[in-house]
Amino acid sequence: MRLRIAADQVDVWRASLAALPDRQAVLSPDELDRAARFRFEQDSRHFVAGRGWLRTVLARYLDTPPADLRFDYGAHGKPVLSKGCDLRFNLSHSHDLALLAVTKKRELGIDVEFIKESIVGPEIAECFFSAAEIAELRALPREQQRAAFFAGWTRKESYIKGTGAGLFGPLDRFTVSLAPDESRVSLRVHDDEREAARWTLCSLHLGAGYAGALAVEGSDWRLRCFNWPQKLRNLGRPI
Amino acid sequence: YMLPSSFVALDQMPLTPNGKLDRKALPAPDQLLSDSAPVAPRTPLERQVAAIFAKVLKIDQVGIRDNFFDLGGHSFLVLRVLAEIEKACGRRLSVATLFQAPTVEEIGQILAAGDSLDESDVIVPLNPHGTTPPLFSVWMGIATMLREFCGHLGAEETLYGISSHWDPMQRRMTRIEEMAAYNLTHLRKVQPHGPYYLSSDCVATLIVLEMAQQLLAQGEQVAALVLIDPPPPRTYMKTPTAADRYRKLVERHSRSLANLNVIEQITSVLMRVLYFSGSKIALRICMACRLPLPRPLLWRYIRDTHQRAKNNYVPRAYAGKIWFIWAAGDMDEVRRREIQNAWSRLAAQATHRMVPGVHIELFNEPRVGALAEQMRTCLAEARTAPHTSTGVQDDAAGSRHAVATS
Repeated sequence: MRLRIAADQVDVWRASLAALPDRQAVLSPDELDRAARFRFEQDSRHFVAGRGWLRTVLARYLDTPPADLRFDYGAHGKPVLSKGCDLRFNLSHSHDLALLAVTKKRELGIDVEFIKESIVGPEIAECFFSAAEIAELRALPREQQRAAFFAGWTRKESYIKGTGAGLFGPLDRFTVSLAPDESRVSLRVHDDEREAARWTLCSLHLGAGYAGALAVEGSDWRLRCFNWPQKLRNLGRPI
Repeated sequence: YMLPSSFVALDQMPLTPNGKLDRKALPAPDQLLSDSAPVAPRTPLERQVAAIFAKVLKIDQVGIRDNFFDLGGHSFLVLRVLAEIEKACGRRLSVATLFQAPTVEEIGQILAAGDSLDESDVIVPLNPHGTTPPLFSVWMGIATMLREFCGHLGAEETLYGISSHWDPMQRRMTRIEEMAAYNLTHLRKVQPHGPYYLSSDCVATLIVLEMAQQLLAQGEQVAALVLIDPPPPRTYMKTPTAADRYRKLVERHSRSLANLNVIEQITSVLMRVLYFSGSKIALRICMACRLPLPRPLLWRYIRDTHQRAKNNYVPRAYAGKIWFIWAAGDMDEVRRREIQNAWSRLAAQATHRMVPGVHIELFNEPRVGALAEQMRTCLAEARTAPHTSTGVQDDAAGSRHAVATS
């Protein structure tokens, strides 16, 4: 059954990596090559599962066999569908959770991160976050800092994945708000107001143990969230 | 999809008393997919970095040639590794560094080189206490070579050298644009905003030209760009034909062969050919096997990368004024006119000056005095030109730029 998506829709699919079938057969030679380079079987398995799933889902939108999809890679490695295709997507996985965001003709980025108890958020923030973010983080009570750090991190990641710059761009030249529960995340790009106005960022509520965020071009879009492989039913909604 | 996920080498197959394969006696395939043993760290620095990798990736053993991303590293862990390295060694490496040097061995090299070649060595405060806005002079090598020049320039002229002695093995820069951007990040720590005064020795011409272009593109003012005996801008001269290039090559070599007899000439040519091709092969082998390069090969690699970078760079029209200081002694009038005209076509405005002497002696005694004099003239002209007075006067040193600690 073909999946349809309207021009103002953003679909976010969620899957458990462990539950995804092994679909090595649909991967391209370079993907298989990448899978082979991992030192540890688990990383390789996650990679294969993630890519197989990506192909499976996109194939449903495009009504093509999953193995026929061809990907190109942007200047900093962001995967995109070959030229001429309207569909845009971004994939992220951490620990056991994989998220796939799909839309038409809008750039987007998605990030999910498993909240590790051992991380000292502020330490990493000090090195990489913007001054305003560091200040906001420090002002929070200690027990809220970890959640705020991961909220901030996933939002920043989703934005830089959206723009395609990835970690090559300077992380401290833009600021996101860090409060975990807010509905609308604010983005401020130093030296470039128009850039910030181009994007809408939102938090994704994924349940305990995970932080997630989505960045999409434009502000006139609606979000639908689905669990894979359940029937197409609205099962989760971000706030 | 039926490929086995790991292979285990056995000397012989364990057999049951019946002669059948004894499955229970087979060793369990271990976790690793790759069958190459990890190479252990060899120095304290490598041990430190390997320990950081192991801690962040949550694995037991990290070989120095294992790729961080093949070990399961991803974006978030990149930041963790960099943060840990900063904590342990005090050096903050960039994300791009880790992407370009994703192994313990390479990071170890970068960190080790850092001790003798600190990031802050890029900017050499030759005279930070002058009364003029600072001149940044790019030098292909260690900018302390500019000390004599600095002395002759006088105490009033603020001068910072930019050491563009980048080593492609560490910095991994292969394009002029990257080198220029790299120099600019350091330059801007000393002077965050224009107007800028830039100059360079002849070898770094393209780099300083690109630096000026990038500054202009970023909306900054470049009050002066002073080029000292620069080579001709390739795209503004007629392209040499293959015959021309061959002729130049022969000329270059025949000068040094002129005084030898025939036997010596042949031997000399053979030796050069052997050395040239031999070193190229040796370089390829070392790079392929990731061996550390011995000094002569390192220089060869640096020179080749420089040359390729210069060949790949396309000088664009420059929207400002360039001052040229030429060495009078070097070449014939016709050739010099040709080069000057080429540069005049590239720059929106150009002024050509001369100093006595030949190219290679310009920065040494006794010629350096004249060079410094000419530089002072050019800078004075640039300072009194209309576009530098933007309402904010550049006054005594310290107010318009942060003074780098020496």
